[in-house]
Amino acid sequence: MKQKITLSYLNPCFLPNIEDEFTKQAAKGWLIDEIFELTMKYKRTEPQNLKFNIILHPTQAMDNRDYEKLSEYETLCVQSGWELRTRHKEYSVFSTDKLDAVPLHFESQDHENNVKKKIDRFRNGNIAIILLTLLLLYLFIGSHDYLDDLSYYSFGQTLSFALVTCGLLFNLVLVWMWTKRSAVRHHNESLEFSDLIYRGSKAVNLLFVVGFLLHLAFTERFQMFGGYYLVIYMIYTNIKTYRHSRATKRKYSASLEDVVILSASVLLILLNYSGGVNLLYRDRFTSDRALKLGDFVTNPMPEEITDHPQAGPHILTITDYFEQDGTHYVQTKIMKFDSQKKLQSFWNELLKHHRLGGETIVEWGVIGYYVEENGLIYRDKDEIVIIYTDFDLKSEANQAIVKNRLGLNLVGVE
Amino acid sequence: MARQQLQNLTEPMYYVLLSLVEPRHGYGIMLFVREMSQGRVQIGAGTLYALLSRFESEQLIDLVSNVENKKTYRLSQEGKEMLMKEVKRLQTLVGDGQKILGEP
Repeated sequence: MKQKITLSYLNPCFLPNIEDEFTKQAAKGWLIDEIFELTMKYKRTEPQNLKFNIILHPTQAMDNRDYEKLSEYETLCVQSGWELRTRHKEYSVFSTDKLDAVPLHFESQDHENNVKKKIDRFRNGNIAIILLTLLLLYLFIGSHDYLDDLSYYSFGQTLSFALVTCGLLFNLVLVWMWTKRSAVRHHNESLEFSDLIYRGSKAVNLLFVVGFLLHLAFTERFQMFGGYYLVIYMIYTNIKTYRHSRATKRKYSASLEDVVILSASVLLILLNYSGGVNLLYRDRFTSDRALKLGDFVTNPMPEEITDHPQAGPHILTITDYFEQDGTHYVQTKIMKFDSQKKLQSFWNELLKHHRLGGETIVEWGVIGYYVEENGLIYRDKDEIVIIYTDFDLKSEANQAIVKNRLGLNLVGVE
Repeated sequence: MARQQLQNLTEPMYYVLLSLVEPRHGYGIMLFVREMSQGRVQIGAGTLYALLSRFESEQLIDLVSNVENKKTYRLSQEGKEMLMKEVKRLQTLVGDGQKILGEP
């Protein structure tokens, strides 16, 4: 094995821990080679005793794409005996085999301020996503009013929401701990967390990723579409950054690209989550699912049955029968065969793009929830269809007609 | 505000400015400071870069040459005046200390 990839990322709270990790890996013969969004690539070398320093460049330098300044900075580091290993965004990773070498940011208030600013941004981003997630959770819980019971689908959603939120909350706790330690630490003392906290953080973030994957696994169609699109986009971005860095020997991306990537990611996350919420609020107006059975004896079969989107190869299963004001009602559940020839509910059909877009806006505007509460719009995800008829379904003759014409077996109708 | 903070120089600041009485580039500064302070004061490359950027924006140092990202700086007139003031301030501090404690 000439290279290995680990699940880890440059969390600004853990820079000294990550430096230590690089040192340990180098001693085992794994030298850090590339850093990506969520992973790090090591290459196989002879075991070496190396000391690592991670530099966080000031954001302004990245904003202005001031490569010359960065190059000057790095030249200075190289002149002082450090070797540039890799770059990732505004980070540069240096190493040296002189274990007593002066650290690159020794007594540097500026570097400390850069790290603090980065952590502030990290914290604010987390708070924003947590608020967004809680809002979605609120919408999600509200949507249970429309469900008969907690389905595996909603359980998966809840679980993934919980995991995602836990990961974010954990990161907030980390930032809080970092800030607290930073306030009391002595000058020149490295702000390093214990190995246990560092490893715990990696585990929680792994859980975060697993939660996201579960989130995809437990949901369908549009949600998966949004989620997979996000994953593919992230992979694509990494490849693009990698190729860019190979071509220009500059392994960081400028801030404009970051903004575009971040915006696109946020948009796709919104699409991902809203897709899920929309599925919960599956559109189906009552009129769409009430079919009149009165004309079944006529020939040919009425168009309202044959052309109805729920007609065709789908199977109607009688779930209830009742009579009210002289009209007979048959409650059915629509089933269809999936690609594995297994029966599944039919309600989970694709929403049209314009409806998805429209509902996304409504959902994210929160007001959608209240509009629905007040009965201004009505939506549900119920796969039940009500068929009503003037026929007396208690009559065996009529039951036979229904059975012959529609293949419905009215078992239980007395 | 930034200038206000530079009224009292920290040790690394003092030595960096002192080293630039003669034109020097980054690594030369680091070597000079280590030698001058007999290894007592050490400046990391990152720290030095930040200091040089700050001094340059405060016009305390001038850029003499820039060859392949190897910039050479020298103390400006304003920088010299600041350094002289700092030396006087330190002399006053030492003098006051000696008055009370005597020669060490």
